Amino acid sequence: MKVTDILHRCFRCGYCKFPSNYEDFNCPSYVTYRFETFSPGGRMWVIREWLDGRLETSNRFKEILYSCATCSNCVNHCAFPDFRDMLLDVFRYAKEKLIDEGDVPPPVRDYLTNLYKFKNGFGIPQKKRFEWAEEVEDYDSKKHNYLLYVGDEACFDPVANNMARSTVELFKKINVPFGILTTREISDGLEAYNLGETELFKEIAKRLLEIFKEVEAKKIVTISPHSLYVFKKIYPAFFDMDFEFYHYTHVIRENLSRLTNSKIFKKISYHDPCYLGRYLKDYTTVRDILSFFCKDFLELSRNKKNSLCCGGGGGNFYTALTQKNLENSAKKRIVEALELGVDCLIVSCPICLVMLNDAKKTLGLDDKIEVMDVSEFILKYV
Amino acid sequence: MMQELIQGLKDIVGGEYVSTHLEDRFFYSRDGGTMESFEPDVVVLPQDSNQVSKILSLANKNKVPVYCMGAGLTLSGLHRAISGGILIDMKRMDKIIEVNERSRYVVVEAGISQGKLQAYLKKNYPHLKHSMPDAPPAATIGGNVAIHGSGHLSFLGGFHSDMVTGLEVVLADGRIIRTGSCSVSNYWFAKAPLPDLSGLFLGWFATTGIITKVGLKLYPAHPLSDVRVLICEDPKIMEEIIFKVTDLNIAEDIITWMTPKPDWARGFLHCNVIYGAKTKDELIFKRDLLFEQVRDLIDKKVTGFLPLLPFMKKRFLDVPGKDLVRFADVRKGGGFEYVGAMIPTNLFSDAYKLGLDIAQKHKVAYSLGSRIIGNSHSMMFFYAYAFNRADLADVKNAQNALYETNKKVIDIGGIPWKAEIPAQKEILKKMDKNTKGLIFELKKLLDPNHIMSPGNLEE
Repeated sequence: MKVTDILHRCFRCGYCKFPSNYEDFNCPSYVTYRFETFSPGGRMWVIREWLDGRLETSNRFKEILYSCATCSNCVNHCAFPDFRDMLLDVFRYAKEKLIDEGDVPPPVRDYLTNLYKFKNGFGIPQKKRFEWAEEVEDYDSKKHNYLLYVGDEACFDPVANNMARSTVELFKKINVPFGILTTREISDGLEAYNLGETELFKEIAKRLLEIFKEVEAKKIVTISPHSLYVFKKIYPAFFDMDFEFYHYTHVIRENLSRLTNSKIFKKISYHDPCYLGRYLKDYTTVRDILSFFCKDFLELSRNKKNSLCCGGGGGNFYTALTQKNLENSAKKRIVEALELGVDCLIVSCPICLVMLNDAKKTLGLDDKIEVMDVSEFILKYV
Repeated sequence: MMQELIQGLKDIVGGEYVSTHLEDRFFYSRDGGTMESFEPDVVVLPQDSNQVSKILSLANKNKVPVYCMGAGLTLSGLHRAISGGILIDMKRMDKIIEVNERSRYVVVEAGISQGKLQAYLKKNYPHLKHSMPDAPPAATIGGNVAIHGSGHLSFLGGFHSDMVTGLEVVLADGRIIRTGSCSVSNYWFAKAPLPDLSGLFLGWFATTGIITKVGLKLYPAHPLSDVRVLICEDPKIMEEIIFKVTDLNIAEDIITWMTPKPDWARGFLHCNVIYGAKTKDELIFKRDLLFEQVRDLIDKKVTGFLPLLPFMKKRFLDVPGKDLVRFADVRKGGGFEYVGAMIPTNLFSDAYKLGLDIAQKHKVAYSLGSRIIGNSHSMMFFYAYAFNRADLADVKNAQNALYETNKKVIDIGGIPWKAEIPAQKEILKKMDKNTKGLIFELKKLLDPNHIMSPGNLEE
């Protein structure tokens, strides 16, 4: 079945916008814009009109397409099992067409230009990628069990970088033999793929795989669940490869016995990132770690496959289209956590870390709740 | 003038919640049914009653038509902007204002989804529930009561409009009024004993005002529930089954269904009887009562209970049930529409035959059924026809079947529910002249500039 064969099959029922219990809207772009066109179903109808030539390419159309955070809530909740797995594919197909037309929103263009020129979406020279990690060893396959792939966000964004630093420190503390790629690391290319720039994605992926091979990496650990997903699920669709991939929380869980089991008396909760949760179906690793340390672990009502996306996926971390209006899913997430009465909201994704911290600041709630990743949390409180 | 109006709307709700973009106007121009598109000039998303009031004042001053949409799930195209103008999407108005636990009612903003209210009650008041329609959870409370919806507690409580305890409504000139006890008291407990002004806004297709808040009855949510399915082959026997089961009065919901798919269901009429209980003993007691009530028919071998596996029970008890919308994909084409006909229960056989004849004549994929309303004084008999949206001939075929169904429903003594505009005209044709005259006078009184959903309730 072609992806475009499903476009007319959307019934507008709206299940795609909700979590399993329907407690509130769970689609980040719809939460921000609130026009039906920004829901997955709306996007389907509008794409059909556009492909059939009844709607022309417009800034609104581009905004509708690129504000999709690829969180996959719609895939998990659409009422039609015959085609729901193809929802994101059809959105990506339309974005590919826009890329072919050379007509994308300026922030998307800027991101892709940076990626092309600098091999990272921030437009920062590669030599600065690991300035923060001067004391971390270069990966040596004979010496290190793991190659730590840090990724763009955790290298270049100051808030997300805390997560990289903490992970490095924690790995050292628990004696995990690991090294990094230093100046050789480049973007994983996922956002190029999500934004419809498939050729650029393939070029980046090919180069990164060559680097992995050149350094004889076997076990690769990622900071970002986005990287983990693209390595495990998208790369193999284009390239032959033979690596093992892990998320940094997998390594922490494997080595929990090396940490003191000191109970932390803080009320905490966990925000499931889309790419570790809905995409890779890993809902237990972080919970295992947190429950090892914490007596008061509380679940947000929207958790696991019902998690409310922070709005940063699908390139929105860079383009900020899901942050355009006053209301957005990251702010809602912070409010939910506060209403649950937690002191600390734990994340395991650099994008979520930045998005939720930004939301907390914008809401003026900096002193009410902490947002930190698993490694930061362990280093601070264990 | 339009530019000034749009700027005025932006001043009221904020620029980000006003759209004149073609993409939005296209999407809001229709729904998932067969009715043709009518684009609004502008779509606006207010956040509270005051904003709705200001929008209507502005529209009234400029004599610009106003249409109103909840989730757009009527499938009869009721929100379409027949005369252009402003379309108000109500879904940002989704607050739960009050739950009165002891008096068992809730006050909500009209744009709240059924799903959000259900989830809120389950979490905070697990012993209370509201009547969920079979529509997807995105359906709004305001939209559903406005069209006289019905749902899984309708055998107990009647139409959802019967469950309304009070309304807040914005009139065409921007005045905000209240109906029911909340117009006198701080409590939204009942429509009585006052003149029932709610009736001026329920079933009027938003031609008299826009409902912005709803007081709604809540009911006990039993911890246990069960479903038993009676089957027979003769619609006359089904009438008898309905009469007997409703006479017993243990059910929360009674639904009949007849469909050619799956194969095991073809040719049979099914009656789901759903009931709740506080204890297992009570559940068994009710099950036994039900059996005794139809024992004579079972002895005659004209009916029996369908054996149900746990997953089938769950499917029947799930509220809302996702299976229902999947009918839209029967033709792999994203569409179905149904005539929901309000019919006296005694006409069950006629209604069933009518559906089969039309499905056969038009060769449409069909599903028939009914929900018994309020102790079986009436039922909502549905004739659902699936179509492939990508095949215009198929869409037209379903449209013809629907139109013919609407006409024949009126012929046998029923009335199409949430009627498409062609069916509204058929209803008005058949309506008592003085009644019709009064309806038009009231519309004119409440909307002298004829801005409220023009095209609806018109000859």
